[in-house]
Amino acid sequence: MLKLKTITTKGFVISFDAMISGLILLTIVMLLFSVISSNAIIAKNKLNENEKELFIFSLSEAIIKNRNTKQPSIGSVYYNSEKQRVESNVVDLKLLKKITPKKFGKFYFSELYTKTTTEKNVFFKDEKNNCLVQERFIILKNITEQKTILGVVLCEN
Amino acid sequence: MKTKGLLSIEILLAFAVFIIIIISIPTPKNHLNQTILSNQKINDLLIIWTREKTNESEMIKDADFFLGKNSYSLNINQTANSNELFVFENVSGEIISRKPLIDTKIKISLRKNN
Repeated sequence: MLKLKTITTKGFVISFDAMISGLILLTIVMLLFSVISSNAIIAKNKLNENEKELFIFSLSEAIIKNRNTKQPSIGSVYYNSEKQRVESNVVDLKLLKKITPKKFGKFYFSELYTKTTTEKNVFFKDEKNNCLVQERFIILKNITEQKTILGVVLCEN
Repeated sequence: MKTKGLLSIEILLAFAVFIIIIISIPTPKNHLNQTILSNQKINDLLIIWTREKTNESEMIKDADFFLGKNSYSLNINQTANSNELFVFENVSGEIISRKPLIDTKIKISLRKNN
């Protein structure tokens, strides 16, 4: 009759210790792969978020630095005819009112508003998921000039 | 217990420690976007303040409204306002406003996490 000790320490193909060690090794490798894959998912999300942040910086910058009467969503700056130039951070209310929600590849320009200490004026709002907001300090030019915050909201399509 | 070979306890422990070290290495954070955002905010204020003559109280009012109270430091001709006491991030903007007869040096810095 075989002794129990003989069975547990040495087997026909593999020993009991070797099996336990193998299981530990497999568990560690599995854990490693799960951590690597979750890190990869986090990195992918960060990359996407980073891209969105850079895009909203560019979009808000374009609106308050450029003038494009045909596409005011990429330029709504006031043109000073006396100085014969556009004025940075001075936004033309007429052009701002023409801006509508717009697709920019995988991003969506979904909301535009101005905000003073007393009131908030929403030009358009089309709610989507995963949105980012950036606010810029501008002078809103109509008949009069008013210091205000311009809010740009960018979402994922 | 098995004491020698590829699957010995020692080598497994060493392997586990090695993996823990690899996993615990911190990934560098992206501060670039935060810096761009801070610079844009600072530039917006400086552009508007230098466009037309703006007095100190108006500047503080604008900055409080746009940046939030106690989140910035403002220097006008080297005279700091009370918010200077805070520790500030290394994002700041400076401009000299040239109006007739008077040059005004305006410097604004943003507080960390703003």
